[in-house]
Amino acid sequence: MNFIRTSWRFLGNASLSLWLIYALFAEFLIGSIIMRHHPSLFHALKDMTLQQWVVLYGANSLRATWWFLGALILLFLLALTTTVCGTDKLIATIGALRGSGLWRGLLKLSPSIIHLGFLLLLLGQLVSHTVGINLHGNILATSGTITVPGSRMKITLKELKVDFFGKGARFLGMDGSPRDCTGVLSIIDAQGHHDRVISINRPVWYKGWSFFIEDFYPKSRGVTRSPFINMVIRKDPGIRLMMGGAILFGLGLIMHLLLVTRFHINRGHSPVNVFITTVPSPVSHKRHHIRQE
Amino acid sequence: MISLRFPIETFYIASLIYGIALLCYLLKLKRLSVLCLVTAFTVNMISEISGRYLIWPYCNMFSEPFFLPLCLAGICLILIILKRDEQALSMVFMIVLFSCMAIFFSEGYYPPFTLMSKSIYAHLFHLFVFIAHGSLIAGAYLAIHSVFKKKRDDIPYQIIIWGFAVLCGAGLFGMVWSYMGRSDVISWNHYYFHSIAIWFYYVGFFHLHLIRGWDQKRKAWILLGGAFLIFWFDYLPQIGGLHIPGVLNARLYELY
Repeated sequence: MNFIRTSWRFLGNASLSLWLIYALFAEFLIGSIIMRHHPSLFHALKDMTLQQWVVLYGANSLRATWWFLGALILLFLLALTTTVCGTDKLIATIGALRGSGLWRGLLKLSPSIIHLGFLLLLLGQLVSHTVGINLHGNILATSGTITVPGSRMKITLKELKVDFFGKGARFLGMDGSPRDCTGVLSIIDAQGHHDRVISINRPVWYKGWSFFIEDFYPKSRGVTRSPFINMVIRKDPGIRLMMGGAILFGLGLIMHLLLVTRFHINRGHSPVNVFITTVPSPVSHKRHHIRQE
Repeated sequence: MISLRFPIETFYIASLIYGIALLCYLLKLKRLSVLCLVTAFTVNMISEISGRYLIWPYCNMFSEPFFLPLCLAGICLILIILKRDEQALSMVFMIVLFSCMAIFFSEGYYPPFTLMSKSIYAHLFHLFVFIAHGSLIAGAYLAIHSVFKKKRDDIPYQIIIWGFAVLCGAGLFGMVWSYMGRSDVISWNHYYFHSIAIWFYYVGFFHLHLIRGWDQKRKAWILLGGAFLIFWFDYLPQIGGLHIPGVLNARLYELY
């Protein structure tokens, strides 16, 4: 029990959080410089799970990947400290909510919402890159069919339309080059046929699966080979967590900014002082007080 | 039909007027300086809007060098409305400096064409990033300015808070754009990771108050460090790094 209490206090220490944040800053900064010299090593992460990448690339190229592995550990520790600090703060805030009024209560809760959003984003990223299906290199020609692995779904590319820039296009050197690519996917499953439009930056979602155009053919006019797309097939359980995290984070941030401004316009104080004094002091076993300047 | 050179030529005019605003400030003609600033801001805005309109729905992804003076001028005008004329006009030299860098060092107004840029999220991401960078640089400048004036001032920190909030918004839009185009919220390249590093830098800044001894004076230097990071890692690559300027040729600003 003492060990748990001591660990909780240690993880709830503000200095530790700050050290972790700046250590992550240093790791990512150094890592971005290393990445410039080894782009393909990290580009492989788009095609495979984190654990596959660690085994195939990470562990075998430690000179270039040490920072990334270190950053993963630091992110895990930061998630722990954020959880501990956030819990302490939430307990203190709930206790102080009585008699606060709705707006002041929301202001006190907004940092907790921001931190919760951050944790969900991290969790979503972890789930997305460790679990689920991520298949690249699925070539689908028009009227061709592929079966979605691990399911009874079949996908047919009913049609593919590639628009090209005409002569005298506004964009120099782009005459005859593609300017858009749109297709119609026909998804066949036990429920029947379902047609969906797919395009660049416009994926198709269907029953937890998502389909993206990674590349397409033809890239110029006048070719006679059958058009096709290079499709990415994903089943990503982490995406909903990330969306939830992003929404919470954004809401918490907007709430905090607007309410801080509201309180301080009404009182004639600078919003900054309240922002700074209401960000939680993550010290265990101490009640949170808003310091008045 | 508007020529593709219209945005860059209007940017030249805006830069000239920014220069006149600076001259008026140095000659202590404050009202004229403010008038020139308002005019230059309007012309710069026309340049920016036309630049986006001309290649809509595609996105002008690396136009930060041309947007930054606009953002800084906008912040100056907000400070003038808040009756902080001296602080606002002291920033004009920075606007002129960035305008000159865009004119003489930029590799071109329009980036190489990519279908990936055809997304509303690409537009939102880039706009939010440019506004965030402008706010964070302006906030850092004003914070250091107040340190040297030996005055306690909260305005720079308000600008930094809003700048960081906009930066977070940029991150969220960037994630959506990346997911829609690449099936992954993370772009596995160095641009993404140095942006994350800068984000963590500011996250750390906002938690400094939890540690004793971090007064406004010390925090101002942290902000200066953040502005330097943005300049070195985000701004410089968009002008092709530090290099001797080429011939000022409008043809450079046509799409390639």
